[in-house]
Amino acid sequence: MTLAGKTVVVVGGTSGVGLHIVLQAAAAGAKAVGLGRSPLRVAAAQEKARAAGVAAVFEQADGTDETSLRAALERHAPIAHVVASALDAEEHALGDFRKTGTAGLKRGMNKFWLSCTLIEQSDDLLEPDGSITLMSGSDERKAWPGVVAHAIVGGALNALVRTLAIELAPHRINVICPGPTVDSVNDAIERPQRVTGMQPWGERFPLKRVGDSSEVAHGALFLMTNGYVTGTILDIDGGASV
Amino acid sequence: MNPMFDMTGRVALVTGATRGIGRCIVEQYVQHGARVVVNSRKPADCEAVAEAVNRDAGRDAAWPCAFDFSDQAAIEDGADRAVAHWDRLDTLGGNAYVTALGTEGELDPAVFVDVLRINVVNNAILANRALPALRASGEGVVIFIGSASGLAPSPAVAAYGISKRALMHMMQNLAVE
Ligand SMILES: NC(=O)c1ccc[n+]([C@@H]2O[C@H](COP(=O)([O-])OP(=O)(O)OC[C@H]3O[C@@H](n4cnc5c(N)ncnc54)[C@H](OP(=O)(O)O)[C@@H]3O)[C@@H](O)[C@H]2O)c1
Repeated sequence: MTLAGKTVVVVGGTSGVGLHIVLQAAAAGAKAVGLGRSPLRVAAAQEKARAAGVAAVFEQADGTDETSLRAALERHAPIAHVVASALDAEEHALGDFRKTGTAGLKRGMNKFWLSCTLIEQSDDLLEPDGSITLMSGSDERKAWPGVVAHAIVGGALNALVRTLAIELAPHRINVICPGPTVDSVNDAIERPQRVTGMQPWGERFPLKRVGDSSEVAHGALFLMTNGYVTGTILDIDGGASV
Repeated sequence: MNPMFDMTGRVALVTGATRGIGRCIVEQYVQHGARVVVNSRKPADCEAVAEAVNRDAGRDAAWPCAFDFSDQAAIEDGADRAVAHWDRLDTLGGNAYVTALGTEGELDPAVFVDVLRINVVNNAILANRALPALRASGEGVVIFIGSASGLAPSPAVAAYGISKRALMHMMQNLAVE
C-alpha cells in the first residue's frame, strides 16, 4: 500500500513523534495533517515542514473535545489513516502511586479517552482499507517504579487495540509502544532538559540509548502501509521490554 | 524512499530464500539497495533465484550459497562463505524451517527432536557463527521468522509451534546479550 495521495491525520501532530509522522507521511506523498491545541506549536510545525521541504498541513484542534476534533476530521475526509500521538505534558503525572494517587491516574487516562474519541469520530470518515494507529508506551510492557500513570494507560490502549481489531475490521488498528523518546533535532533546542532528563533511562536498555521521534514515526508508517497488520502491539523501545 | 528503509551498502544472508517469504525478503532487500546471499539446500534453485534477482536489479546484487540447514557443519561452513563473499554481513534473515503435522498426542519423539533442532538450535548455530561479522558491521541485525502458531496454542502443528515460540524467546535472549 502506498501513501501517495492518501490523507493521513495525526492528533498530536505538531510536536515529537506525531510531527515526525506528519513529515514522513508527507514525504511519502500523503496529504498529511497534524492537529494540536497550541497555535504557537501549529505555527512552529508549519515552519519545520517548510524547512524540511515537505508540503504538510497543521491545524488547531483539541483531541479531547469531540466537536473540535470532528470538525477538523470532516474538513479532510475521506481519510485513509488516523493516528493518536497526543501527550499532554501538564497532565501526564509522573511519580509513584502514593504521589499521583487516583487523581493522577485519572489524568493519565486522558490519553486513552482522546484515543477513543478519535476512533469514534473518524469511524464513518475512514476509507474501507483505512487504519488507526495509537501510541501507548514501554512502561506497560516492562514494569518500572514511578511511571504507574503511563503503565495503566498503556495497558488500556493495548487491550483496546486487540479487541477493536476484531470489531472494526476491515479497518485496521494497531498500537506502538515507544520507549523513552526524544526529538534529537528539535528537543535539543526547544526542550534540552527533556533530552538530559531521559538519557539515564536509555542506558538501562540493550541499545543503551533513548529513541528518536523519527524512529517511532517510521513504525507508524509501516503500520499504515502494510495492509495485513492489525491488532498488533509494536515495540519501538531499544529493547526496553525484553 | 524513506531513508530508514535504505539498505544501500548492506549485505544480508537469508536462509530458505528460494521461495515463499524468504524469496520475497531477498527481492525487497535488493529493491532497497542491499546485496543478498540466497540460501537453500538446492544449488540449482539458489542459482536460479540469484540470477533472476540480478536480472531484475540490473546489478550484481545476489549471490547463491547453498547449504543444508539441517547439518551443523554445513551451516557453519555456509555462514563463513556467505560472510567472505562480500566481506561483510549486516543482516541475518533466519527463515529456513521444517514443520510436522500432528497434535501433542501423536508426536513422534524423533520428529519432535528434529523440528526443535532445526528450527531452534540450528538458528542459534547460524547466529553465533555470523555474530563476529554482524558486530563488525556496527548495524548488525538478526531477524528470525516466527509464526502465529508460536503465539497461541496450535495443536495441529504442535512441534512447529513450540519451536517457533522457543525461537522468539531465543531472539529476546540474543537482544539482551
Ligand atoms: N516521548 C516519550 O518518551 C514517549 C514514551 C512512551 C510513549 N510516548 C507516547 O508517544 C506519544 C507522543 O509523545 P511525544 O513525546 O512525541 O509528545 P510531544 O512531543 O509532547 O507531543 C505531543 C503532541 O500532542 C499534542 N497534544 C497534546 N494534547 C492534545 C490534545 N488534547 N489535542 C490535540 N493535540 C494534543 C501536543 O500539542 P499541544 O500541546 O499544542 O496540543 C503535541 O503536538 C504520546 O502518546 C506519548 O505518551 C512517548
